[in-house]
Amino acid sequence: MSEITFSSRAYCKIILHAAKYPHCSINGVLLAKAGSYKNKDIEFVDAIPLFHISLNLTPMAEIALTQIDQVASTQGLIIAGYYTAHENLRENLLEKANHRISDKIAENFSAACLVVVDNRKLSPHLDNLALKVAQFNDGKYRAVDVSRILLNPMHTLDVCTSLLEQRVYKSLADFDNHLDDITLDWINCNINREIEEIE
Amino acid sequence: MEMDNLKQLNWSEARDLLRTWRDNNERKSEEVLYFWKSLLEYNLNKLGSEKFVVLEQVCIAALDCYNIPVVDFCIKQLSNEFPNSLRVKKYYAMRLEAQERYDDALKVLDSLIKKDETNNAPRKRKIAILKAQGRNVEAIKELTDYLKIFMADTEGWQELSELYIAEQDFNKAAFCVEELILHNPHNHLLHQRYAEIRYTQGGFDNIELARAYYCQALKLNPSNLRALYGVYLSSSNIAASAKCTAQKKKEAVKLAEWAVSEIKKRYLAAKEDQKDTNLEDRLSALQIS
Repeated sequence: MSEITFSSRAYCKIILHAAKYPHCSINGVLLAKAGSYKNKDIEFVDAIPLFHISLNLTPMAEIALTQIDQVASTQGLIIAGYYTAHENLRENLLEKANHRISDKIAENFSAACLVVVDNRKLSPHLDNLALKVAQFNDGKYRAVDVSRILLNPMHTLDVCTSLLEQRVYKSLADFDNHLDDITLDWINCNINREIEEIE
Repeated sequence: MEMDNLKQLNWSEARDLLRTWRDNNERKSEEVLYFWKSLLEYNLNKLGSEKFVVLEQVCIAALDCYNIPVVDFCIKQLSNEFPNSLRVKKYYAMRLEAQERYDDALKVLDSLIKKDETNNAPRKRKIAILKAQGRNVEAIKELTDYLKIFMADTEGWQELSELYIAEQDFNKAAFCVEELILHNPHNHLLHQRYAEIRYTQGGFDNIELARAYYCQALKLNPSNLRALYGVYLSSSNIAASAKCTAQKKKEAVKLAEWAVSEIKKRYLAAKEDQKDTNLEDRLSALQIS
C-alpha cells in the first residue's frame, strides 16, 4: 500500500480553510512535485483553497484550475489531489466527496488523491490527524488506510494548533475571496511564511 | 477585519459595526461575541432603542459559537421585556437545536406554529433542522411546500436554490433563481448565479443563455469579476462549438478577446498593491487559440 504524506503547509492550509468557514462546505486542490509516481507514494507540498460558495457550479472552477495549473508548472508542481470538507458536522464520508474536479484530476494524474476533512476530529487543540484519504486505483477512488497517512514534520499538529489559536485563518484567501477582491492572493504567501516560521 | 483592528474600537464604534453586519446579514459570529464580551455587555443600557435587536444578534452569534451562558442571558433579557412573544420563544427552540435536541425543538416549534399559523419563522426553523440532520431531500420537499404558501419569501427561494445546487438538480435551482430575479431584477449577483447554473449544465443552448446572463450581470455591475470571467468562458465555449455558425463564431471570439483584455486591465490595476510575479503567466493561460 502506498504512503500519503502531507507537508505542514498543505495540512495546515486545509485545516485553516475549514476553520475560516465552519458553516460552509469548502474545497481546494493539493499540489505535489511533478514526476512519475509508479509506486503511488505521494507527498503533498501545498494546498490551494478554492471555494466555500456553491461548490457544484463549474465555471469558476475551470478558471481556477487553469490558473493553478499554470502557476504550479512554473514551480515544478502538479495538481495531484482534491480536498473537501462537508458543511454538515456529522458528514465525513469519502463516497459523498466525489466532485467533477476530483474526476478531472484523476484523468490527468494516475495517483490522484481525494481528501475529506473529518469534521468530528477538529478542535481548538488538535491531537488527531483530521483527514480521510482515498487514492485513485483501477478506475475509482479507494480508501487509504489511516496508518498510511503521514504528516511531515511529525509536529505538524502542534503547528496547526498554534495557527488556530492566533486565528491566522482570518487572513487566508481562497479563490472565492480572490474573485471578490482581486488583491487577495490565493497562493497565500504570507501564511506560507508564518507556517515556515513556526516550524 | 483582523482581530487586532477590532480590539481598538470603542463601544459606540462596535455598536455601529454590529448594525452594519445586521443590515448586510453577515455571519460574523465570532466577532459579535468578542464585542459582546469586551464592550457591549457592560454598555447594554447605552444602546437605547437598539438594545433588543442587538440582544437578538448576540443570541444568534452565541448559538453559532455554542456559548450557552450568553444564549441564556440574552433569552432572559428578551423574555423579561417581551414575556409572551413568539419571536422570543423561537430562541428557546434554537437553543434546543444547538444542543441537537431536535425532537424537543420540534415540539416547541410546532406549538408556535399552532399559536400563529401565519408566522413563518418557526416553519423555517423546522426546515433548518432537517438540513442539520443531513436530510436534504426532505428539507427540499418541506421548503417547496412552504413556498407554495409564502411565495414572496426570497430568503426561502435563495435557500431552496442552494439546496438544489447541493443536490445537483440544476434545472430546479435555475427555476428558483428565476423567481429571485423576478423579485430583484437589478441584482447582478442573481443574474451571475443563473448564468453559473446554466453554464454548469452545459450544452450549446445553456451556454448561450449563460453568456446572456453574464453580460446582463456585467451591465448591472461592471466590477463583477465572476461575470467577466464568465463572459470569457461562455464565449470561448460557443466559438469552439460545432453548432456555432461562422457569424456567431466571429462575434464570440471578439467578445472573448474583449473579456480577456478587460481581465488583464483589472489585474494590472491591482498589481500596484501586491507583489504578484506570476500575473503574465496566469493570464496567458487564459488566451484562446
